Amino acid sequence: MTLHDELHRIADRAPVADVPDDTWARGRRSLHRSRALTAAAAVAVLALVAGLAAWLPTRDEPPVADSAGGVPSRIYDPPSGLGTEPDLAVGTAAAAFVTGRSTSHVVVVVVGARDGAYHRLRLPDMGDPTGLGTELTLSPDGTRLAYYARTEPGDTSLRVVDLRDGSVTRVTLPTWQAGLGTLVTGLSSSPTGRWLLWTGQVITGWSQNGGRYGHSVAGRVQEGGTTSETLPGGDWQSGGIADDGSVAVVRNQLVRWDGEHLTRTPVPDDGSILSSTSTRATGTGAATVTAVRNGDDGPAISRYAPTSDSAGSADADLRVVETLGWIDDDTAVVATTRDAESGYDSYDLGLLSLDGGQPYRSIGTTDVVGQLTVATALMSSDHPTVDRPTPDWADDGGGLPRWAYALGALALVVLGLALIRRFRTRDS
Amino acid sequence: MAHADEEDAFRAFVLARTPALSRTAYLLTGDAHLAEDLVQTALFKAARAWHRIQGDPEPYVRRILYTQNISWWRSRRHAREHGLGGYDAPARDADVDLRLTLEAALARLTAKQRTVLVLRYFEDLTEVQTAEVLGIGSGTVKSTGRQALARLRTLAPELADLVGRTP
Repeated sequence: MTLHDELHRIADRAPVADVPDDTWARGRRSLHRSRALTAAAAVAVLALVAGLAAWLPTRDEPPVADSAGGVPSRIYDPPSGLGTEPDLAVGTAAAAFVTGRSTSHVVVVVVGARDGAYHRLRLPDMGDPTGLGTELTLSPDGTRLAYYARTEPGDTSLRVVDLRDGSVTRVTLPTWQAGLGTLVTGLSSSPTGRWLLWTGQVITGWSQNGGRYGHSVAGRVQEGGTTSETLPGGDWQSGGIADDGSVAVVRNQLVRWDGEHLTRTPVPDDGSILSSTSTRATGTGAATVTAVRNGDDGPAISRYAPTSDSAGSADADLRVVETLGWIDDDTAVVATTRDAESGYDSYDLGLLSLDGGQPYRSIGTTDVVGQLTVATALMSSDHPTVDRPTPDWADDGGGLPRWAYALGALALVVLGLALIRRFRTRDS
Repeated sequence: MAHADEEDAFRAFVLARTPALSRTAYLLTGDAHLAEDLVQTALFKAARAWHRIQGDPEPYVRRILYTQNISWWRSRRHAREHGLGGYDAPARDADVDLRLTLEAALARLTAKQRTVLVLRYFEDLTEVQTAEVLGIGSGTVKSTGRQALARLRTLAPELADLVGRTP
């Protein structure tokens, strides 16, 4: 008897193993799963590499310079496919505008001051059935957004949204003799937001398809107030309001109302004024007004009374499309374009200043103009805008959008699961 | 059609070779249930890789059998090694009940030692063939085999003649 014989003797007693009938099927299924996982892992690695490749070049984007927030140097118009958000408490805003990408209702886009995020909002009762009166203005610190609302004949109002908590304050507008209320066509804020100036026209006829409008009217509203005080006189369109509530406008003369007295001062007639500021009255009762206009030599900014001063861009092709606000008494934030350009896809954001040096300086670009308002307290002449990452939905030609990173992350998870599965299979 | 042919070939192989594989698996594990698990696992893995197997599938399946058993043992080795020292002591001649038969003695070896013995003295493979199947050096096979036999002699002195007569 040898060890060989003895081993065979032992083996003879071994029961024959029962092999399940589905062994083949299970084996093949396992193979197919394994192949699918391998393919997924390969895709995962590719996506991860692609995501990293897309991400790495953008790392040299300048960081956000001011943690308190700022106005983006590039303002996009988000697609309507993003939908609207129900919550108005989106936080302090850097910019707000009426987007042109919706025909059925007014959609306002609010750009976050701290993160540059875009929020599409439907503000309660905003606008007019005819499409008029989509005025809005941000408070200089970006915390409040005022807009015009009209619900039915005779019920016109301003609404002020506190973007920090979403609360809405209603300011009822006068109904006038026709009893149909007011159409607001201009809204602006005083330098610190203590006062709101609205300008517009009396509504004399109203229907679902349109309306008729009468003489020009204007009013002022104190911060937190629920009533409007009507301004004396006639046309205050393109006027400005100071923190003391005084209102001024330049026509062929400087008209100023300090809350009690209306004064008129002769000034040079420089042509049509686009917008103006109103500075606090001096001890002598005089006040200066700075105004923006498009002159023969391009955008110009002028200070009136008691002494006049003026500066122009000396770029006849450049035109101011809209004044977005005032950084200080002598510096306006404007959107400009060039007459030679056709099909305006984007506009220049610029500063127009009386403070010496170059009167006009480009500080960014915007896809939207018309009812664009910026938080001017977040801007300064030295540091007017901040750079923000390109939004996911913006086709800016700047590499892959954020979904690539998301896919990369997902790929990493799939890869991890595949590895875990493989280890478990080996252990079993 | 190729898949159907492959499945038929696999089923024919299972039918024909399961008894022989079961014998080897029983010797490798020393336990009927573990042997059955081992055979089932080896055949499952063979089914997965059937398309890659060239020629006779048996060497492939047997290789899985041997290596899988060692792999299982490694994952349980801490539990197995605990207390082995006691068995390494020579059994007292007077205590007939403690005498270990060859089967019981094999169960006291490590999976690697047992596998080397089975390959060398049951499957009649050479040291070189054993080394190749297990993916280890032939020197390791030689030393492992020597250790296994020495341990068998220690565990079951009454089998000394049997173990001593090995080729």
